[in-house]
Formats: sequence, structure tokens, C-alpha cells
Amino acid sequence: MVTLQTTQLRTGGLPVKEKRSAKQRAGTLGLILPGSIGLFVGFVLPLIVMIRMSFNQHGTGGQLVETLTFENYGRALSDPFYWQVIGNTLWLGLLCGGLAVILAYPIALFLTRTTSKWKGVLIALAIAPLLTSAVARTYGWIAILGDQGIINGFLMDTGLLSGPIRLNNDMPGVIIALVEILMPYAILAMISGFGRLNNSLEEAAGTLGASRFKVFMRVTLPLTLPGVFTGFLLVFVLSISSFVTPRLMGGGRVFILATEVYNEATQTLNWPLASALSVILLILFGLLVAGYQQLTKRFED
Amino acid sequence: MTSTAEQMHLSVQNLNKTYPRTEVPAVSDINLDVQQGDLVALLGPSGCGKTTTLRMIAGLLEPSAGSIRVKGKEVTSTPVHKRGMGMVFQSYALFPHMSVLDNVSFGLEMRGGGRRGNRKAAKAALDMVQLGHLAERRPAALSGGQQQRIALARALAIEPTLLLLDEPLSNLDAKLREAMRHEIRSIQQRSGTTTLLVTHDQDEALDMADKIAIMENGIIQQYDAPQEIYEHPTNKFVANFVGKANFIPSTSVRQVGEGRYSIEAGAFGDLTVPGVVGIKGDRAELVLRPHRVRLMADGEVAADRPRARGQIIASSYTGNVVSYEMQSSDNDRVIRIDQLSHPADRLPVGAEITVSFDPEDAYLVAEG
Repeated sequence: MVTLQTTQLRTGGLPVKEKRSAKQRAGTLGLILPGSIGLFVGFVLPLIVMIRMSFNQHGTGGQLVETLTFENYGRALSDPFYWQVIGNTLWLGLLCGGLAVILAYPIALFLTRTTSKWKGVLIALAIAPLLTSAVARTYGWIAILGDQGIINGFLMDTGLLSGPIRLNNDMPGVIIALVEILMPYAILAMISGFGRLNNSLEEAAGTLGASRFKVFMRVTLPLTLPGVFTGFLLVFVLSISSFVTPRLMGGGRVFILATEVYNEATQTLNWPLASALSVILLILFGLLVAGYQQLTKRFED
Repeated sequence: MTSTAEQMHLSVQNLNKTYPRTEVPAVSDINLDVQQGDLVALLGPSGCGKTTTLRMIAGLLEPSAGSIRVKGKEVTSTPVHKRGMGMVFQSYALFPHMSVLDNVSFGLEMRGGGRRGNRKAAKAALDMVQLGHLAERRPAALSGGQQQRIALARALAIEPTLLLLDEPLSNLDAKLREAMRHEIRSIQQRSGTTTLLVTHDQDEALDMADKIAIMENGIIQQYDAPQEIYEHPTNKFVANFVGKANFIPSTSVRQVGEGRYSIEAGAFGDLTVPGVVGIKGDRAELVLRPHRVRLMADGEVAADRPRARGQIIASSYTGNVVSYEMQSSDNDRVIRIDQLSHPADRLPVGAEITVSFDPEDAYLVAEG
């Protein structure tokens, strides 16, 4: 069944045997070309340049030495600090993905099920935060979580605390802000991934004797799991590549790959090392997406 | 509670449903008694409240008022998963992430019991619908007819107190629909499961049901055996909805006996006909089924039969039947005539004809 789907996908739904005319093929090519050129110039070429850069050497005087060495990878992978950074990055991604999915799941389920005439408006509201820049929203969180922020201010005014607790300028603040900023993506991904769910399936389970809890465990959850995976993957990828929020909210205490790449590229000016770290980040992405595809494939079978 | 209600397998009393933020009730004062082992059809146009009624009986919808009893036991406030009713949904609602066998054994699993025993019982239910060989497949890999039989097997596997069928055949093509009609009916009779069938298809209801409840605007218009519904409709809506009917406006209506009236039926003249008991006023409508109208041969005389002359203004051919529309010569009426077709007998549009009928085949109903 899966093979059938992929064949259909590849041929755009046309029967495999049907030959398409040269004109049709030229038309298809014409439509694909602009985007492909854009992707090649904007993504593939810079990627090649970056990978090449990661094998160069950072000279003692700070100059760039054209060579072919694994030194940067060696340095990144032998230094416990970078392992810590990779670990932090993965941890941040897992935690943000998990929390965003848990918080977004009931919202997405509600938005999928509701028959309200305001459904469209509600969905728009749920994803409206995306219309504000992440920078603005991060500063919003600083105002809330900072030492003089709303939460600490309240706790100190009421005398519950004598001094501020550190919510900002560390991992918890980054996670709180990232989860909130990325949740709309999780909601969107889940809504589009809940397509197999429909009311009569849950009703049928009910008539067959399943309590509400069992209906959820045996029908609702299994049918929404593909959407959950997609939502998780999206938030995971966006949080391990996020830069603005960890940078602004981390207060220099949060070290993840994206901020390290930035530091190496702009402060130490060590472009080869920055490139090598970027490639490592890319490989992390690749592994994860491959794992995700295996998971969904197994699910469809 | 009356003693008859106790004997009834299903007894619905004064069931009402008004949806929030609506004025008009979707269902009002439904009373329905169903005997053990019967198949009862709820028949009506879309939006008549038949599905709402079924869903309230299933426990998927909370009634605004009224009571539902199964075998004398009140179930009105019993949650859906404790009612033990099997339901077949219009979309079949098979679980796409489970095999056919897992679908069928789901209900048994929810009732506990050993895995092996459950699978055996599920297998038996699948064999009953002759699909035992598809047990390991996924529902998506099956045809509509097969999915529908699996949905039936799943509903019957739990040995339900009541089988509820919500438009079960509407997604099948015409040929298959007829075959499934007979298959469902025969399985239902063999298992002796009391069944409610919701449908908008009159042929389905007439063919399958022991009794039919005709619904319109949330009200049951008539609840009777199929032949009674067809031959003796209680009002114009029922006569019009079930089967085809000519309505001949009748005047000078006078009761001449219990359910017998003397009337003046337009071009057909003065008649004595059977009809609904208790028609008031001097105007009514005579229901005349098109296939009971007879074309008279040239020169034929049937002195005691009402007759009318007219001209054929349209004809339609559906294979076994030819339907003519006749404009009667006094121009007051178009009469539809259905005849079993034969190539030699086909009449052209414009032909002058004389038609007649047996007054005992007609039935008088109130106006409106």
C-alpha cells in the first residue's frame, strides 16, 4: 500500500504507463525550474561552500588557510565543551518538542473537532502569534521572567520572596519562551496531521463498549499520533536551530550549537570551526528526519 | 407503564430533542414500540429527525425529554458504552489502524474475556458475513461492500440487545445495495436481533422492514407494516413519500360507513371509495397508484368502472415500465399511468386514451 502511494506521488497521480507528451513534460519542467534554481543558488551552493569551509584551517593569526583537514571536526568532537553543547542542544530540542506537543495537543484536538462557526477565527487566533517577530516575543518574556519582571515583582511585593529567583538568563527561561514561541507550529502541524480522526470512529468505539478513557487510548491517540510526531519534529528542529531566543534569554549561560556557531563566526572569527559545528547540526537534523520517516512508515503499515 | 410496554423489546416514549440555540424541536413526542426480533425502519426525507432519534436510542445524543426502555429496563441515562447496542454507521467507521479481525473483536475485548475466546468469536462473526478470509487485512484495502459487512459483523459480534443501522447502504452502488439488503435482512433474522434501520430509501424500508415508521419534521406520521403504509396511508405526506401517487381532488365527500366515503372525483364522476377513518369536511384527495390505473382498449366497455378520457402529453421508458402522463379532457388534472412495457403496446405522445380504475384500489385521505 505504501509503495502504491509513493508511485502515485511520483507520477502525480497519473497511471504509471500513461506516456506524457513532450509538451506536457516541458510545461512541468518550466514550473519546476524557477524554484529549483532558487533552491540551488540559495541553499545547495552555500551548503557546498560551508562544507568546504569546514575542512579549512584557522590560522594562528586569525587568517583563513585553504587546506583539507578534519582538524575542526576533531576539535569539535574531542572537546568536552562541544559535547556539552551538542548535549544541551539535543536536550533543549527534546524538552521544547515534548512540552510544546503536550500543551498544543488538546488545543489542536479541540480545533479539529469543533463545529463552531468561529472555527476559522479560532485557528487563525491560535497561529496569530506567528505574526509577531520572535525578537519582540522574546523581549516580552524577558519582561515577564526577568529579575524585575512581572513574576519576580509580584512574588517580592507580596513578600513571598526576599530576592528574585532566576527565571531569566538561564535554560528554564529559554525553554519557557521557546515553547510558547514555537507552539503555534505544533498546533498547525497537528491539525493537519489529525486528518484520520473523525467523530464516528470515536462514537463507534463507544457503542462497542469503550469508556471515554479507552476510546482515547485505543482510537483517538493512535489516530492522532502521526500529527503528534510531525508537531514534535517541527518544534524539535526549530528549537535546536533557534538563535534569537537562546541568545537573548540565555544571558550567556546557555550554550547550544546555534549560539556557538555565531560566537565562532563573529567573535573568534573561526569560520572553519563554525562551519564544522553547522555541519554537525545538519547531521543531527538529517538523522532525526530519517528516524521520523522510519517511524511514520512503520505506522502506516 | 402499561403491560404492553413491558412485553416490548424496545419502548420509546414521548422522546423529544431540541438542539441548543434552536427553536424548533428536531424530534417531538416520538413513541415507538418494537417487538423482539423485528426490524423496524425509520423512513423519512433528510432532516426529518430519524437519525436524531436513532442516536438518542444509541446513547450518542441526550434526549431533551422522554424515556427509552429496553426489555422493560430504563436506559435513558445509561452512557453509550454501557448500553450494549451494536451500531453500523453510514461511513462504516471501521478503525483504520486495526486489522479487520481486531476491529471485530474490539467490542468483545472491551467486555473483557480471554483473548483467544474473543478472537474465536470475532472469527465466527466474520464467517457469518462470509469474510473470514480477510481477517488480517486493513479496512482501507477492502471494497465498500466488504467494509459494510465488516461493520455489520463488528456490531453483531457483541450480541447486541439492539442493532442500529444508520443509512447503512447509502454508500453502495445500486446493484450491491439490493444484494446487501437481502443479506442484512437474512443475517438479522437468523440471529434474531431486534433492529432499527434509518433510511431515506423507501424501497429499502419496504423490502427489509417488519414495520415502518414514516417521519416528517420530527414527528412519526405513520407506524405500520409496509403493506399498510403503501395501501392505506394515513395522510397525503405518507402517500406521496412512499411510492408514486396520483392525487385526485374530490368534492362532496360524505361518509357512508366506517372508512367508506361517497365522493365526486373530478372527471371520474361519482364514486364510493375506502379511505382513512374520520375525514372531516366535504373536500378530500383520492390516492390512486399509477400502476392501478388501467388503459382501456378501443371500444371496451366496463360500465361499473369510473373512467376518464384524455391525451398523452409525456411518456417515459424505464425498461420494464412505461409511464404516461395524461391530460384529462376536462383539463383539470394530469394523471400518471404506469404500464408493464411491451414494444408492441407503446403509445405515442398525443394519442387519445381512456383510463379507468377499480374504486376499491383507491384510498381517500384528508386534504393538505
